[in-house]
Amino acid sequence: MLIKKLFKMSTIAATLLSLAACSTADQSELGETSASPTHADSALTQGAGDVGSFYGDENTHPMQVGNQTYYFDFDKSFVRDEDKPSLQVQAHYLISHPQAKILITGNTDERGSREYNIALGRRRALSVQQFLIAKGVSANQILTVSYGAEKPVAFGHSEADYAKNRHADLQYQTPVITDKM
Amino acid sequence: MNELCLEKSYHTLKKFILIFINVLLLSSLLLSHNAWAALNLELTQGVANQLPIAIVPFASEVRFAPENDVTQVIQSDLSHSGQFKVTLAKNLAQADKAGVVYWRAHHVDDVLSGKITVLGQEQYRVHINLIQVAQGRQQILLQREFTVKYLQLRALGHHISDLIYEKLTGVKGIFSTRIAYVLVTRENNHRVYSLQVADMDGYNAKPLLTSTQPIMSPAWSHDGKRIAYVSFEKIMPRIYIQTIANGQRQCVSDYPGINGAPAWSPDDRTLALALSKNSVTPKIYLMNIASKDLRQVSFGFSIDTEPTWSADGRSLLFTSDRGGGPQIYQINLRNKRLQRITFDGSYNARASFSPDGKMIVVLNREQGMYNIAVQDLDDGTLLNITHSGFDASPSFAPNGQMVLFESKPGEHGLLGMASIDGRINCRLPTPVGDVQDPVWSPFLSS
Repeated sequence: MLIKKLFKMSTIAATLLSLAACSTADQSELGETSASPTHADSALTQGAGDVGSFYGDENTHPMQVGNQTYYFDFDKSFVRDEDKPSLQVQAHYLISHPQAKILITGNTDERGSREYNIALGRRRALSVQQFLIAKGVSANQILTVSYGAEKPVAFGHSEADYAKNRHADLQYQTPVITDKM
Repeated sequence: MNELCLEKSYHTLKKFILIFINVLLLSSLLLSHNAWAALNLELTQGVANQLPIAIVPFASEVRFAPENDVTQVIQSDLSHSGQFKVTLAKNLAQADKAGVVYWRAHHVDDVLSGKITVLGQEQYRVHINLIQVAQGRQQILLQREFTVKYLQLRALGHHISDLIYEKLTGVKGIFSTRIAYVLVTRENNHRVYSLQVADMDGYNAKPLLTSTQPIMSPAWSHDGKRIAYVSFEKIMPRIYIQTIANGQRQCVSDYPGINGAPAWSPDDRTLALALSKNSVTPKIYLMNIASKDLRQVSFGFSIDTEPTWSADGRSLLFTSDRGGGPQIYQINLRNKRLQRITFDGSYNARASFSPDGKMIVVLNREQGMYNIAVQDLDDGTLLNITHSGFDASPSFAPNGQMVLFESKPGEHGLLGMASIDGRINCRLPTPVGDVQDPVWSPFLSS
């Protein structure tokens, strides 16, 4: 599958990038995370691979170029501090690869009104977009869409389930390529 | 469908036990107080003033499959309305001879009987006879005769239910109306969303659209012939209008950002919708459906969405967070005057007017629980009519007596119906998957 190839490539890219741009990145993380995300092309599998890392667990947060998931507090749309280094990695890559395009999807937990959640999800997607633009990424590389509560990844009524559903996904629409290989 | 309202609860069980005792006490003629409905109806509170009606199974030379058995359809309709105590008479010979005294002794006010004659070529003639015995004498309320094809028998049953309902309550029946909803199932590890149209009892469900991407916010045109909805099939949300009869559709809105919450004007010429094409948050716009011309009607930085029309077409309700959390506001389309409508609770959304315009139904949050509530527009009082805590997407029946909504008390979304006084609550389980975003059709002429 294309996406899987993309991830293999993205691992290499991430290694290069993290060495170049993100000296704080712990190498052991890269080994873990390159195996963990199993983002496929459908909503169902998004985020399912990094369930263990959903709740602001910095140590397991992916720090490589590739599809990413960022979580939000209830009724909030600000990017959490622990997600900023990872977003910084994406920003570096997007700036150095102007052909690369991403889709940012905003999602909410199931509670409340569906259309109102669409509006809340949009705030989350735009929040991630704004972060990247502030770091110098061109707006032309970013497409945003809010799915509101329409694509849940967890189905229970616990706070842990809700927390898993309050996220923005950054998805590369173009293959992540490495420059010098 | 017979599976209507299959949610059991402590109350239902108690009710069922009571009915079971009643059954034991009753004569052989009256088999039961419709045990089916008792099992399936979840009455959240005792229902006083149920109209006691006996149905004598229609005499017929042939037996019909349950879904085409007119007697069963009527029995199911009236029971599920919650407004009738339906007794099914089993012993036909005795029932035929039973007189006023007999029915009164069993506390029956009205008796429905009928006859089905085979005309050949899949044609049937159906006679019905509704007699009132409440005054201690026989009074004919309704005598009708219909000629239908086999495949129309179920629809005829609903039609007869409508006639009886209107005769006995004075309010138009909704048994021939339909509902639209989104069904979400899983196939091969991915989600399948489909927009379904079904009879109001869940029968005859047919998909209008199937997609691997979300479908939202179906809205019936007032002539009942078209449905507007939001589809994410092209990644970005778009609004489509689809003709129910032939499935033809047209994309009417694909602006950048949110294209959401379509709502038909009373004359079906204008669509109110939520767009974020020039803003971070969605704002309310009106679209002339023929020309696609847009007019923005709400402004500012707040989230404004879920527009819905007043019956006279002169104002809209919408959800807005301009005061902090989401609340319902009304805008007069002529003078642009804006008025906040809801004040109870920190969260009120997805409003719509009752057909008579005297109340609105909303999704209300109180202490973290999301329930359906109706608000009287005269005195402003808010009444919660559901209590699961996980309810959403309410819409009125076209006669204003019931509200259809989605409920997700467990892991799956179900459809629920509640009476506007909150006394009757019942549920339609889904066969597979989640049912969400339901909306009740207008009265359909046919």
